[in-house]
Order: sequence, then C-alpha cells, then structure tokens
Amino acid sequence: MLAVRSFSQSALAKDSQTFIVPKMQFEKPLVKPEEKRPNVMKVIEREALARADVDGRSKLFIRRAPPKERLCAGDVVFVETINSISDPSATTTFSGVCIAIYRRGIDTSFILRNIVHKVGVEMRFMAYSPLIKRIEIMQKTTRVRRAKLFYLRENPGRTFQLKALKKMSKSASSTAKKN
Amino acid sequence: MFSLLFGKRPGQSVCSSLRALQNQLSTSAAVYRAKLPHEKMRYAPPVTELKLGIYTPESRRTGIIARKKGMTGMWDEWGVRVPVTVLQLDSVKVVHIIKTSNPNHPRLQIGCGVRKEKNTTKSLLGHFKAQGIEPKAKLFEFPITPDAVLPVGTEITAAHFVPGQLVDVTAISTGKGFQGVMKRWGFAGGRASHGNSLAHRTPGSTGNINPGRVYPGKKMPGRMGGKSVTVLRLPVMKVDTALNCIWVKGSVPGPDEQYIKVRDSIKLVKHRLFPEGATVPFPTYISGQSADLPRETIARVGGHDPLIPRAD
Repeated sequence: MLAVRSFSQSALAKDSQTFIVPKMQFEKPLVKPEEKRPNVMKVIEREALARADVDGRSKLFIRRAPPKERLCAGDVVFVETINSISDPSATTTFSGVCIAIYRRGIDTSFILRNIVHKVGVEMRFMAYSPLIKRIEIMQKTTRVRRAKLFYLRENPGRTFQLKALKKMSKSASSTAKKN
Repeated sequence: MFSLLFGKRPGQSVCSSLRALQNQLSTSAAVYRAKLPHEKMRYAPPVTELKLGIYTPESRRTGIIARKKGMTGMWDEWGVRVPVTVLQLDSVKVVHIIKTSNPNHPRLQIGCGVRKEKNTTKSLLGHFKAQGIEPKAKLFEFPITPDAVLPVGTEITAAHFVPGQLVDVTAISTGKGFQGVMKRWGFAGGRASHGNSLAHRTPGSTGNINPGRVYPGKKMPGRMGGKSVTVLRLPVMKVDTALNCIWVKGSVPGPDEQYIKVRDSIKLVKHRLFPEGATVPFPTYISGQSADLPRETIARVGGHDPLIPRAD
C-alpha cells in the first residue's frame, strides 16, 4: 500500500506566456456516455481527480473498498511532503495515527495525530495536494468502532505507544538525512 | 400688430394678447417637451460586422450573465490551494443594442440561458422576435464604450476572459430571513452574565430623549440577505473553453445555479485589470479570428515562491 508521486509531471511551467496550460490535457470533457446533461461540477471533479491521482492514491480513499485496501481511522500512516515546488528534493515526513478522514472529492483530507516530544501534534493533509509526495499505511488498525477518533485527544490510552510509530520516526529521520 | 391697427378696440386687444401669450406658452412647452427623455435624440452605434479591435485602457468591454455552478479547490503553480467558484456561460448572447442619448455611452443587452416560448410573456417574446434571438432566461444591460459594441446575436464564450484578470461579480445574496441586530448589523449584544436578564442579544437603546423619536435608517432587526451584492476584484483563476466555464477565486454571493453578473473590474487602484503582456480578446473572443486557445488555461500567480521564506 504505497503511493508515490512522480515529479516529471509537476506543473512548474517556465514558458513566457501569461497563463499556464496544464500538462495533462483532456481534449474533451470526461463525460460518461450515459450522462445526457452532465453536471459540470461532477465533470470538473472527475478531471481534477484524474489529474491528481498520478500514483493511485485515490484507492486509499474509496469508502466502499474493503478495509485492507483503504485508509481507515486508527491506521498508522506515514506522509512525506515536499517543502516547496521550486525545490522538490527537500522533504518533510510525518507519521501518526489517522484520527479522521474527510472525503470531499478533490478536497479530500485526513488528520494524523502523534505525540512528539511529549506534546500532542495533529497534522491535516490535503490528500491530492501537489506537495504530498508519498502516503503510506504502516500498520492497519485492529479494532475501531468510530469514523472519527477525536476521543484520542482526551483518552489516548496506549494508542501512541505503538512500535510502528517509534520505528517510523527513526527510519524517517534516517531517510531524510540520506536525501 | 393686430392691436396696433385696431388700437381703439380694447376688447380685441385683450383677446389678441391672450392669444400671443398662448402662442408663447405653447412654444415654450414645445421647447420644454423636447428635453423630456422620450423625445430626446437617441443614438445606437452603427455595427457592421463582428471583427477584432484594439484594446485601449479606456475601452470597456461588455459584461456577461453567468450561472454559479458551485465551489471547488485548485492548486496554483506554487502548490498553494486556492478556493474557487465555477461560473458557467450558458449560451450567452447579445440580444439588443440599446439606444442612448449619449453616443459615447451605448449599452448592450445580454441574454443568458434558455426559456421556453410558452413561458415567455408576449411582450418579451415580441422583443426577442424583433431581434431574431431565441427567448433567454435572463436579460441584463451592460454599459460599454463605442469601440466594444458587438452585433446582435454574437455569442460570448468563456474565452472572453483572460486567466489572471480581475472581475466584479454581482449577485443576489442568500436570503437569511428575519434576523436580529447581532447577525444583521454586527452589534455586540449584551453581557452573558453579571445579572443580565433577558438582554443578551437585544439592540439596546434606539436613541436619546432629545429628539424624542427614532432617526430614519436606525439599524434594527429585519429581513437579511436576498439583496444584490457586488464582490469586487475577484481574480479569474482558470478558463475552460470546452465546458464554457470560468473559475473565480473565492466565493460569490447566493446559491448555486443562480444567474449572476460578471464584468471586468472597474475599481482598480493599485491593481491591474489584465496580467502584464496578456492579449485581451477585444471586443470579445471570436473563434476563427482570435488566436486558438488550449482547452484549459490557468492563471499564473507569479512572484516569489510563498513556501520558501525570504532572506530579507
């Protein structure tokens, strides 16, 4: 379950025009044949997802998919983001327990929570942002009864003492040094 | 003259002077009536054919009526997320060139959408038939300069707008019903505690004892929303010629699917209407004459990468 974005298609155009032409062009709108009067917003979302989903990360956010294939609340997730588009080599990593997923098409986002230096830290990531390089599920959850795990803020229990979280923070720091 | 000739007949002279007065009155009335709006000389610019012109900073292009389709997000060239509203141009056409008393200020009547013939009033249907245009759902007039006049029947497409330009959007805001002063006018309300009794959200005093009355225009509870609101200087982030949509940064008043007015921005202190070096489709984008465009064009934000902190 690894999703990596390739940066050959990143949209930093350097031509002298006053506008940018997206690298991935659909000559005709992505309208399904059964749609006689297509909803413009649906077509726009379909195209935006087709553009942003260069590494198949949209499979992580299909609600009806079996839990093994998708991202679930309670999973331990590792995210690598580039710091800026003008310098894609510099990256930042973060791993934590996914406590909420907001499925909103191209605006899909999720919240990761972790304890860093004894301080609770929450990070919200836009799933299809061009700055997100990699989303990786490190450990599937065993048993979660809710879609939103905000109770972990008050009653964390032993959630953030998982080995995967500690391991990941070590490996992430080592990979970041290599880069 | 009459009274001079027959000077010794006073009755006649009175009669004639009355007549003269009447004449005078009638002539002055005619002069006065000539100044009435409906008797003014009215001009309509002579439009021969649809051809490209040269845009000058003094030129003012026509606005359009579009349909608000909904909101979504996009990322600009630096990877910064931009919230956008999608506006669709649903068969926008020039319906009528309005005659005005000033030849330098013509107006274009623009129509948008489709209306069934059976749902159109006869008077409006006659107007559409006289112009040779199918009935439109919405009509509005936009003031323009004489060089930006378009012939009747010209279709205006999304390519009329340049990605990166600024537009003003006028629309009817969402009706919020009868609201109190805190929501409607931003009053502070009363205290939450410290002995406050039933006065948490009240407007308080409405004036002094001295005039003994409430001044007209006093801000009070009442109907909120449902009024025409203009949002100034929204950048056009993207133009989609296949879907005939423009993407405008930020929000636009009112609910989805409602008709709204979009025009080139007019209040431009410290702002540029068009991005530097852009080719402006003037008076509008004409397929065949204007340069071909790709299906989608995105505005270039430019400047410094906002995600890299500056040294200075």
